[in-house]
Amino acid sequence: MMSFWRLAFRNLGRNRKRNFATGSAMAFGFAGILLLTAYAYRAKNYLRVYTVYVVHTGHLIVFPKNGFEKFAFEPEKFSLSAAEQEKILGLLKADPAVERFERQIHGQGLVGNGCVSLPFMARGYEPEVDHALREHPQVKLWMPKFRYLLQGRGLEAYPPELGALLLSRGLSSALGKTRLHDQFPESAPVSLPDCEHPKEQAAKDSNVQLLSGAWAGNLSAVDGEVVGLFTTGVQETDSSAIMGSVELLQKLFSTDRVAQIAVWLKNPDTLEASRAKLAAQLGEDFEVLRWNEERLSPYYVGTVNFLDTLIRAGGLVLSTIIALSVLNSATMTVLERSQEVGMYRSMGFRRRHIRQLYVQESLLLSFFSLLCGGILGIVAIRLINAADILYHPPGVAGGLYLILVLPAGQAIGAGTFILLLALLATLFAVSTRLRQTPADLLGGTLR
Amino acid sequence: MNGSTIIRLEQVSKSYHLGKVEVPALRAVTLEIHSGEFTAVIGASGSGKSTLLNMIGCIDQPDSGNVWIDGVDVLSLSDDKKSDLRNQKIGFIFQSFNLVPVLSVFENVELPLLINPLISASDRKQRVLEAIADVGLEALAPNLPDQLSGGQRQRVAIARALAGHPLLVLADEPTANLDSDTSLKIIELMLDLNSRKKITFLFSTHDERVMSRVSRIVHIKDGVVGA
Repeated sequence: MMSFWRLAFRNLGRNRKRNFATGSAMAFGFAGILLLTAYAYRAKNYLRVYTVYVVHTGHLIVFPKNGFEKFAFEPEKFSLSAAEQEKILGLLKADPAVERFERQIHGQGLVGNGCVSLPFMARGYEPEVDHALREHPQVKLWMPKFRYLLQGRGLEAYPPELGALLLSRGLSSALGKTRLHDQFPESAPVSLPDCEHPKEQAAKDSNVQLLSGAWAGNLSAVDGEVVGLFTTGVQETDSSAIMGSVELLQKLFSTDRVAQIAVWLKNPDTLEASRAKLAAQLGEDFEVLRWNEERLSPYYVGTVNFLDTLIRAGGLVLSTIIALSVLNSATMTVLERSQEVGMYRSMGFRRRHIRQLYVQESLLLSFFSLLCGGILGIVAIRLINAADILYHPPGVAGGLYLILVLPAGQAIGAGTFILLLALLATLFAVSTRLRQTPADLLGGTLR
Repeated sequence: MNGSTIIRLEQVSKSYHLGKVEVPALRAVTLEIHSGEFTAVIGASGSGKSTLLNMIGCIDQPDSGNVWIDGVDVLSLSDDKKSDLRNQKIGFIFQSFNLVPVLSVFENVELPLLINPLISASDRKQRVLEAIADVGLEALAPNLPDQLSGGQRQRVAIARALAGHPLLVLADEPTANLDSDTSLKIIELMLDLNSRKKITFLFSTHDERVMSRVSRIVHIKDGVVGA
């Protein structure tokens, strides 16, 4: 027994070259959209995880009022006192939505090896939190090849009194501090400097001296032990960054205050609700920022906006190509088969029957094309991922591996969109022709 | 042979526009077709034969006048109702057969029945087989149109027109694309169906051999139907 579906399927074989061309446009267009989607999805998640976990931004950050803007100029005034820290930590401990939190401190100064001193930007974290973030499932999932700890062990592996710190690789190289604490015997004495040969001198031990202005105004210095090398992932900061414990930097800045407290949520989907709740609990003396606010994460927000624009533009171009291909093909098919449409109408087919027939034809062609495009896209993604392609976006230290991750929901959404586009193009082409009388479609007579 | 009136045209006029020139195709045509008639419409090229068949087949709209089919005022019907009327009461035979090339003989004949909700699947199959048998193509039922001769294709078209058990079968020059022997066989077949199954045929032709065989001839000249 015949059905419209069977008729539609057989009609696909009537103009194979055109259907092949249209199907190819749809398949390659869809594959292109999948590649773009996969790139954007992975890039956005990479940036999100980098921002939230790797650079310790957290999902929320608590500052004293105006602390975000004014801390750099008046750290003593626009930082959190011990009492304030206690109040905030108490609230966070009691909140079941909070996964973890961390007191943070940062500042700048000079780091020396006994002979040479260089400027640094230091960030103080809590070693156990740093360790937990390095091992976080989100980091493993989205940044499997990223290792910010390039050599040595993390801060959590050393007792607080050691003054353990990590040097960024550029700073390590500039200071000549290429050997780490673990590479020296425990009782190795700190040697007197021989600055005639500064590089050789620097390599004799893992000790550095940090010098900075204390927040109260006087100068302050501490000794530190280089226990590891790390990369910030950003060229701009990769030759001046130091990471230490909060305690070490508090000692350097002669304070018991911290700059901010970062908060990680168990369910980031509740971001705004959690922010509002915490802000309400803390009152007007504090401000709570979301990680994805432009003033807090300008790099993330700017890059994501750029990616979104890229995807929209690429998607628009590919969708237009697909729509025009289908429209052209459907128009040609309907024109070629005008007499046949007239025959159908003469036999009593209603306009909706004809539309149904062509729409089913278009659906079948689109379905097979999208299936091929989907397979093509997935194979291309797997090949790209297997190729271990390292590329170097501007400003990124060490480059990034090109890894594509296809989100199933977005892929299905894109496929559905193309399907609808094809159906609309077909309906437009058919409806235009169906305005004619059956006699006109037949060419004026029952030929 | 004359039965009840199944088609009635009253003062039907139709003009076409060629650029800015209005060309009258039918001028106040009044005509009746009765059940069981085998009627040929005769006229020169451009005389209005095809336009007349288009009006009777409800595939074109007159500028003025009225058309009744089986007592129904066609001009009062919506497009969908007119489609239903064509499907259930009129069979069409086309000059160039108009078979769907990707469908078998069986499937081509089945085509108009697919959209008739009054016919069940089993009845549909029965009607198709019956129509194919009526035109003597049982052995070719699974074949595609391009495996058939011109005469066989027109037989398929006739079977397709008959399958819906129409009130009237319309054919515009059904033998124009066939050689004379085949044309004669097709006309014989139509005559046979008319006498055996009492199917009403209305067709246009130039074939003089046909004129002597038909029960009624309608002459048309310059859009005017004569005696």
